[in-house]
Amino acid sequence: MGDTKDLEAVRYRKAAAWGALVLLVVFGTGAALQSEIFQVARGLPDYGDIYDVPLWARLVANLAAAALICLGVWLLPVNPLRRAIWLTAILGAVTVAVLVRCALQLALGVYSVSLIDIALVDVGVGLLVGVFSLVGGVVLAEALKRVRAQEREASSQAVRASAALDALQVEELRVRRDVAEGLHGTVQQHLVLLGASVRGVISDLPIGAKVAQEDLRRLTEIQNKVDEIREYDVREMSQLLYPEGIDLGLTQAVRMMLRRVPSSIRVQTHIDETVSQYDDPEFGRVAQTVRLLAVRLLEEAVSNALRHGNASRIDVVLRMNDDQVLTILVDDDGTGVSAHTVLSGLERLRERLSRIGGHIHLEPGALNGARLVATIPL
Amino acid sequence: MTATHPPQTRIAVVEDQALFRDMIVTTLGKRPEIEVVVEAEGASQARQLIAAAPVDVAVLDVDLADGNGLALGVQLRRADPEIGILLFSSQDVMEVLLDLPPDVRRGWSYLSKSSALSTHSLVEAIQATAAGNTVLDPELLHKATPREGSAVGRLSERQYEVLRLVAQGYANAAVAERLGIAVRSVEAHLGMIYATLDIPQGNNARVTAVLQLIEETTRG
Repeated sequence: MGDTKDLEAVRYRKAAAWGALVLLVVFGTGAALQSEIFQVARGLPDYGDIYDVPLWARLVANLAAAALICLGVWLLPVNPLRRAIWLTAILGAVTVAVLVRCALQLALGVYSVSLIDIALVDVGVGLLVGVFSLVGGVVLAEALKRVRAQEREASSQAVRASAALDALQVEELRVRRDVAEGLHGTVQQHLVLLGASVRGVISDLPIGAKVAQEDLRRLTEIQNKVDEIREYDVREMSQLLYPEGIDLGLTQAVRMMLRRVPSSIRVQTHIDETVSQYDDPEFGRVAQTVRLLAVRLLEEAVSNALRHGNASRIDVVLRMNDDQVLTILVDDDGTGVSAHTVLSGLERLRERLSRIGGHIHLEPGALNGARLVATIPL
Repeated sequence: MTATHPPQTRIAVVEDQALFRDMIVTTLGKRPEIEVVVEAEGASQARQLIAAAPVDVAVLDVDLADGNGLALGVQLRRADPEIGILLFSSQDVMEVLLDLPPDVRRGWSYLSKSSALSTHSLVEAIQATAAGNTVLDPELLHKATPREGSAVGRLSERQYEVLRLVAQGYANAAVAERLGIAVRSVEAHLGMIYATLDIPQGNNARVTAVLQLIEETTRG
């Protein structure tokens, strides 16, 4: 924290010094040249030899003062963010520099002692020019400081946003898991009890009673429906919320997703050793959010292949390169996708992938259908 | 002296649902072939207890409050290469056996909590797992349907039946007995199964065929 503040102060002084230097060099050079031009254009008899001074002497005095002011501003170890001390310090630097300039002018013969009153006027002008230039430098430093602050704010906002997104995804997974567990546990238990009580009613019906025949049929229907809901609907729902195998690993989640493809579809899965080794169950290196993303990706590819491509065969390959980028290839033997088809599911996945540096695209595949290629950095 | 006492299989039971754990421990505790050495409710407790008291087979629930049975099984096997792992779960996650790391691939079994298993078959499964064999849940295997276009789908009905019995952990003689055929016929069937599934004959052929059965079937 202290380091960044120190750095900020140094940057500020440096910017102010450079800004002031540019202005002072312009003023110093300009003033020296102006005096030279006056000297050539028309002599002022009253002042006699005052313009009979070499240009370099004026330049040396002016530029030395400029350099002194800027060095002072740059090197004085005063924090510019503490305004009062900083202003006092730079005014001090200007005063010293202007006095040094005056001494140099006297020493180099720009002014003689007899013209001390003009020299003193020049001191006043020098002070004004110095202060003016410094104001320019400070304005520049302030502007740069604001730009830096804005950049910092923007980048810290980006960091915050991405951290918030990560937290949100983890939280989403947790909620999904809780709801799925609730469905598995509580809802299923209730349905089991409901089924059992319907069975109880059926078995309590007097055997052969005519009035009960229609009721018996309807009750049996209800009982079967309850069993069906428990077996399939609840299971499907919890699967949607929190796919099986997500807790175990990437390969497990992928296997269990592909298992759900109807057995009438030929599915070949090749999970390369590079992936299964990296995804060692003991270490759980692949984040749960990535596992979920991989499952969603396969769901999308499979459903596109079956719905849009009428595929009868799906080949899935998972492999990883040395840079730990996971590639998922899904080939199908369907009719492929035309270049104009906009697959909204794929677009959503593309967005989610791009947030973690992944890519997704469709291309013609080896089985004459579509091939979905997705890359995910692990 | 108890010289006639049969060799006991020492087991650990790791299950986070107390009721289910008690049930297994009580049931198996009555069997003379089994000695329940470790009872644990979670992964970290299991690691500690099993490190102090080695077991022949760890019976692990896949869903644990502080981890999962798969990861725990891999850890236990790496700590003790002789230990057999029997996973059981309320959901069918048999596919976990497919991508086990090469160093721990041998001797994993899988049973479903919702299957109607007899104590006898559970004991048999534990003993087979202790011997380094793989035992899969009979009910899940019964529901298995070969996938279209798969090699398992090309097996004859009889070969498929033999493979499912092998997957349940039966030795050739037991398969022969159950099907009422000669042991040599079972061996011949196995030869054909390996050929159809393109598996080289050898030590791992049996387990490889069983894994392929998992990979190329769906189960409801």
